[in-house]
Amino acid sequence: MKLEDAALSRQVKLCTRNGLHARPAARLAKEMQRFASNVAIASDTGEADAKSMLDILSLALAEDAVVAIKADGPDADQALEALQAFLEKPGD
Amino acid sequence: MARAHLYGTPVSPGISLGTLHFLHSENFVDRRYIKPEEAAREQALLEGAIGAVREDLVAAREKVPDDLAEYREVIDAQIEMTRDPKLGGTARRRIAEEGICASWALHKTIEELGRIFDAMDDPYLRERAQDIRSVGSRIKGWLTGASERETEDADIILAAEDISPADVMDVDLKRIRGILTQEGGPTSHTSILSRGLHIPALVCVTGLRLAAREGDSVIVDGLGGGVLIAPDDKDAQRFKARAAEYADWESSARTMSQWPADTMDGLRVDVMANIERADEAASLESFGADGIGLYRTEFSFLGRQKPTEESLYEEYRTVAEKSPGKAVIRTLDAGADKLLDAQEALKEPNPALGLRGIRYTLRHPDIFRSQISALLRAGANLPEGRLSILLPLIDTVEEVRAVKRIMQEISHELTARRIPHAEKLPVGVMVETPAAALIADALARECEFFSIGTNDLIHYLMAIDRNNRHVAYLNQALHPAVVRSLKRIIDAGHREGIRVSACGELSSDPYGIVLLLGMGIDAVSASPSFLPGIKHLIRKLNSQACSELASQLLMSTDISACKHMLNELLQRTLGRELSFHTSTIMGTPA
Repeated sequence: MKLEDAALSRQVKLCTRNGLHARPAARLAKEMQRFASNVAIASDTGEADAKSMLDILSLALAEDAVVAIKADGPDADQALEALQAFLEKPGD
Repeated sequence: MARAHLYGTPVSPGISLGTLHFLHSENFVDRRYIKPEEAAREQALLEGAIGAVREDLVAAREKVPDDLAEYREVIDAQIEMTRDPKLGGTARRRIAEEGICASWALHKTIEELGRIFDAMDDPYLRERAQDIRSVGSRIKGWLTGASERETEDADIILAAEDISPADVMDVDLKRIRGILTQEGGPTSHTSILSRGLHIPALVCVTGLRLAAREGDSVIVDGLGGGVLIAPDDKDAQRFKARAAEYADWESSARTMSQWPADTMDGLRVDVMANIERADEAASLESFGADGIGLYRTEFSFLGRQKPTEESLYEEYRTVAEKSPGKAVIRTLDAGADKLLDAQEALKEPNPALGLRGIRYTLRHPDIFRSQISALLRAGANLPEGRLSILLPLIDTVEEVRAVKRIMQEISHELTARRIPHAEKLPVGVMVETPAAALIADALARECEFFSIGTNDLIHYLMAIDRNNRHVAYLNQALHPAVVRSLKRIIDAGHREGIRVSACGELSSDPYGIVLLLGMGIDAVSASPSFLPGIKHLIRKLNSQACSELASQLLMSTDISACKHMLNELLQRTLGRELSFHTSTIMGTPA
């Protein structure tokens, strides 16, 4: 999935404590699978499908990392909103 | 199959008899090209298998007992993998694009993902490769129809290359009598899990596939490290008698473990626990631990992020409060078993002799200061002497003084910031290098107690690398250099009026305990599961007899004669019970 010219994108600073390890990554992927749109997270290491836990994990995102999030599709607005809320929520 | 003996490394004690059940036995991958019109069918097969595995995992998750709750998360992550487009989606695409069957497409996808995670810098993420492969082999199992073969037997001995928590939950826990794996070590999932379930387990068992078949009857000896395949009637009888004897011994050792360990002639030895996670502290009372002799602090530093002082404070306070007695917390000893990323980056040719232990923490004051500050804060409101600090890999008196200076500075800072804390805490030195052993008298004047790290002391004295199996034969606890050093350290401590304890394999080994006791050790510290047995042993020993034996050992330079003398004393005092203890000094008992 190429999202270079995605309809929507923005910068987000990751607040999840201890970075995105397996547990939050699993929850995030599960949450994103509810949306029809394609959603992606991009960092300096690459771009990941936000519906794939393995993809998210392979970005190895640390706490405080700044990432770009993008969405493209019928419910892109809501998807992007949900993704941003998840990443900015401190939680564990 | 024919009667055969195999050997492995015992990681969880006990003996049991059961029927062998291989997990993911059909690890054979069907490699078949398909016609384009078959693609849809293969994709449906794959979908079905993934769905079935997901259901299995959900069911397995429900079966995790509450005291092993941390394994639910491992299974949760595996459940999510079965939903992952990166796994299922990629494999599905491969079927169509490469024209290959479901099993092969899945295999390729799993291997590719596994390789990506294997190559990651972060040790936490690297370990996820294991989860991916474990989910992969389950799906492959479904595709080849292997997992459908349920076992009906009442007493199961699980065998596999390696075992993940979900695999164990698949089988009715009450029916598992033992675990055998080809891979793994004392800290693998297999080991921790089997100790939690109180079933015998062996890792590094080789040749199982060749010597045994599914459904064979096997005896697992988690004490001596043996596997007996297809035992005959005589073996079975002998096993029954021995298992009954062991069960009696274990339950009486357990019941008695709540009482202090006094020798026959009334000398008390503190029996302490070595632990590495704060949540272990609360359960120590059931093992009869008199306190925590060694809390390893490495665990929270292995994550991707450095822990905050606040989280360290919480961690150390929990340890000190939940401990059944005193708690000794060792400052970061990175490099002992695992390297921090920062250390790996140094690319030292010989990390065991490199920047590790106190050398590392004195060079990285930010980490060290947050640890010391957390420790001093954890010491607030605790009775004096309850919490103390242990310094790893000390070589010089200056290192101890430097630490004390840092402690004083931090104490002043905390006072200025009006944060409650202990003014000072007892500082102990880990004596584990030849240098420290030789200047034990000077070190004893600088600190409040000694703890002898017997594993490292032996390795450094004998100049052997612990991971090098070519020189493993030199790991001789009864080498005169080791025996004399132990004596020298204990005497130096006692002359300055400080307590000396020992942690390391020697302090859970019956032969080591006789030796240490004979030299007047004040406390021994070992993994919780060994403690009831250690206390039981100490109560049967006479300290005077041990001390006489120790003097004889000190005069001898003949290692096999020393072994013989120790063995004689232990046979005399313990009789058949001796075989219920695991010993590294004597090697695998016959």
